[in-house]
Amino acid sequence: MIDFSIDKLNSTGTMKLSGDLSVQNAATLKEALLDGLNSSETLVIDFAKVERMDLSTVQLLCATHRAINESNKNLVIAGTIPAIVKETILEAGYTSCMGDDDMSGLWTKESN
Amino acid sequence: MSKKIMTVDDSSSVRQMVFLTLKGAGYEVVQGVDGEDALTKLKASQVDMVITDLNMPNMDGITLIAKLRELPQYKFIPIIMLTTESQGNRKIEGKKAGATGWIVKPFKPPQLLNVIKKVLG
Amino acid sequence: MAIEIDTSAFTEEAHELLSELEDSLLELETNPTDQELIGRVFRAMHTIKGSGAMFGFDDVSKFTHEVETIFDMARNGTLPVTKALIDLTLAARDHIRALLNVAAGIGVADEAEAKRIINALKDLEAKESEEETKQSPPRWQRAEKTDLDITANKDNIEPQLFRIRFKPTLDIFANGTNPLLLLGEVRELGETNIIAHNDNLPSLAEINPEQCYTSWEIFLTTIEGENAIEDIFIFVTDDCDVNIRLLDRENSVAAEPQKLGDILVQRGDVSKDTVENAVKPLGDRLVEAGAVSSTHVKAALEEQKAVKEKLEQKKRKESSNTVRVPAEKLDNLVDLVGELVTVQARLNQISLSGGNHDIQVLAEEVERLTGELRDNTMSIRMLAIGSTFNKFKRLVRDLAKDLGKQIELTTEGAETELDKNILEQLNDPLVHIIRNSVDHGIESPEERIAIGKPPMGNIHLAAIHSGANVLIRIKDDGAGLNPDLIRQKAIENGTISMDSELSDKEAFQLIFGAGFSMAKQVTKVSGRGVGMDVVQRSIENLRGSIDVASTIGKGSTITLKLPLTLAIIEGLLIKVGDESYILPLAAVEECVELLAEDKKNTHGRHVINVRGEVVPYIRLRDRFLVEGKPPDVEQVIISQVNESRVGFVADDVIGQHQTVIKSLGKNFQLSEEFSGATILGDGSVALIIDLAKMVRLVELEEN
Repeated sequence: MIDFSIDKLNSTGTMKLSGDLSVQNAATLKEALLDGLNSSETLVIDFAKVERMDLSTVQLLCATHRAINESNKNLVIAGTIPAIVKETILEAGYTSCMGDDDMSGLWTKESN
Repeated sequence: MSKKIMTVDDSSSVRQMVFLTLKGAGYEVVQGVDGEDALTKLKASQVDMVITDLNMPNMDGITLIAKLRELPQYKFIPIIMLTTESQGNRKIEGKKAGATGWIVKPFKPPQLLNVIKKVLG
Repeated sequence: MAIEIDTSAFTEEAHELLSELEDSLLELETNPTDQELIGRVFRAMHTIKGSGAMFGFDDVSKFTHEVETIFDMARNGTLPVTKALIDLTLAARDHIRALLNVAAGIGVADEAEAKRIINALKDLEAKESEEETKQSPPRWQRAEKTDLDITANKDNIEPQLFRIRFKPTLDIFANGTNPLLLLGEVRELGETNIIAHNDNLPSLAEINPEQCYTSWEIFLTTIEGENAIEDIFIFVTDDCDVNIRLLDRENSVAAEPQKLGDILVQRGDVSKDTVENAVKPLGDRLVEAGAVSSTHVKAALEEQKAVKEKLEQKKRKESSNTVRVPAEKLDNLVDLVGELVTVQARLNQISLSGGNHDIQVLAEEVERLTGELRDNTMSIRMLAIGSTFNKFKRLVRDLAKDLGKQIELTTEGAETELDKNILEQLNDPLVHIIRNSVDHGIESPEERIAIGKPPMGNIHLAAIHSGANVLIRIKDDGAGLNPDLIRQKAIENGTISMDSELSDKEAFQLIFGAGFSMAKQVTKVSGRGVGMDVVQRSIENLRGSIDVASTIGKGSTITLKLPLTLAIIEGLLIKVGDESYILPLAAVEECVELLAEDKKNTHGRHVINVRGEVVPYIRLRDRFLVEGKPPDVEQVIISQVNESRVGFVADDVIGQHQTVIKSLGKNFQLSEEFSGATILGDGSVALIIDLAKMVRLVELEEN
């Protein structure tokens, strides 16, 4: 469900998320995000294989985003973002985060 | 992938009605005849939602709900209880035990489906 | 499925729709091109079909579908609405009812009848499509549209704007509730704008991932009621904050959308002081100052925007949301309101003399309500003058073409409203005046160029509100009136004597004399001398006045002054002998006393010195042949009549009076100096004096 690897040289952590990202697994996800954040300068998250997602995950992602901004680290969303992820974020009304509108952009637009 | 719902009731006619309605709407349905039976079956196989009567022999609905909420895999799933108009207190007890919502008996198939849509999506 | 489904909801609805269908069809018979009606018929059938299928009434659904398909062509304009089509649709409607009865166990289905109707309908269509094109298959053979719009009949319900605040308890996930599903249900009710508040979200390290820190603010525009919204949150209302508020029934929507600061304060997000201390842009400053989070500002902005949109929508709606009412119904209403005003005046009088405080309070309340009712009723009859103006564009264009002139008509104040009855009677006078301007006013292009004017002449029509009156100005940039020529012509006619000294203004008034024409030759358009006198009479009948201003070579301006309404005026109640009379208050300037010595000093001439100005007066006692001794001090009511000051002498001035005008019967038509009568508080009758006419009659008699 959560596959995390870190490239020591560039201190870039890559987190591949898959399957069910709902409250059932929220505690696990939180620990993984926290570890990922603490151990890397740039955190890359890949949502490609996510099948379910709910509000608990949206909240965790928002908190992660804030933590990254505060610590001057980088967050990169890699690969394709499945519709379920985009929809859940928008459905939850999380169109603004940390006072700007880039939440929806960051999490819902593919970066190349 | 259709979602799996368990219906728990000691009255076979109610179970039958719920079963037919849910089947007709495309859900997979498993049945429990009382709380104990349901708990055993639920532990053995995960479902996405539980619809349970409150007054049942062996283990009543409220106990079933409380016991399910203790299980990690049933901590967050929707559980709907079937109550009657006169069971105002039981409804509160049920909510305390962790029920998501309720349906007042007697009910019609569309009402049941509406509630499922509300809590299960 | 062997499950009993309750169908009574459907049958009830279907019967309602059927009777609506019948009404619409019958109406359609008289208005076969009314798209609204056609749409209504279509929607009724569409709903019966859709719901019928849902509730297992397959016969009803199938039959209705066939009829609907044909009728859809009428809706699209490909099949004309004929008597045959209406007859068949009515028969179909009866058959649908029969089918519903069969389902309820009454009677048996008449399949022959169904076939007859469908075949006849198909024949109608076949005939039509033969004429059109032989290529495409008849409409009923084509695939049915898949988007069953069974909510279409809700179109006519006004959508409302709600604000929903939903703040789940922290532990909401733990009883199996997924709040996003609830938001989804709200979305299904209508147009939504959902804003999440996550100010309370802890840092990643501190967050309890199984708790809900988010709350929402939802702006929902929906045709569903508050109950439908409450139903969504039914399972969570006990332990979550759910606050549903209808935003646009409150006064905030009736007026302007609220200011952002006010909304924030009202919502309790910031204090009023914080708002007042902040400098613009308000939202940004508040956020910088940390007084409120940006999501709150955003939500408030959203509320502002939503309310604004709602307002605009409402305005748009209003223009189409009108009711047609026969004019006589309105006239009846005005009559009734008039009677009410009269009765209310009596009530006031009685309550004041009775000395009963409670009744006085009540009478005041009735007075206020009556006043509002009167104003509202009057406003219902008000129409914008614009449509009347527009008619003249064509008139001017055609006339100018006939006369070889170039004239452009410009208008202003088209939105100015006037009582419908006045507007109707205004048409002919305006036609006369505009004709005169086109014919005598505006010069030919050659003449205009010769004197340095642009070849294109201009006639400007303007309507302006002025107190209780509306001024209508007809201004042209033509040759203007020559007062000397008018005097000369008037002497020729014998209207005035050789030695009359007339001011230019007085000379201009002569053009309103009967048979007076300035035209050198009689043209098709004007010059027969029937016109301006008729104009003046019509305007005076409307209790208006007419004024002419003109400069030679520059053009003329004719100004009509008209009351806003015909039915009720503010009057001045006076007494002459035992009788009461009403003068229109709008014309009254002041009241002065007439002492016996004043009369002596003027040696019997009927003039009074008002602060140095000599004003002629008419003594109503003399005029009405009232016998008996006048009071020692009489009252002169100085009024403005046709641009000059004239006094009217009465025994006493009682005061201002809300005057409901009753027209005089045929027997009194010869009493020209009265424009009507009114009933006073005590039940007696007072005649309303037409000042301008009385002055003219007196002048005529003196000459």
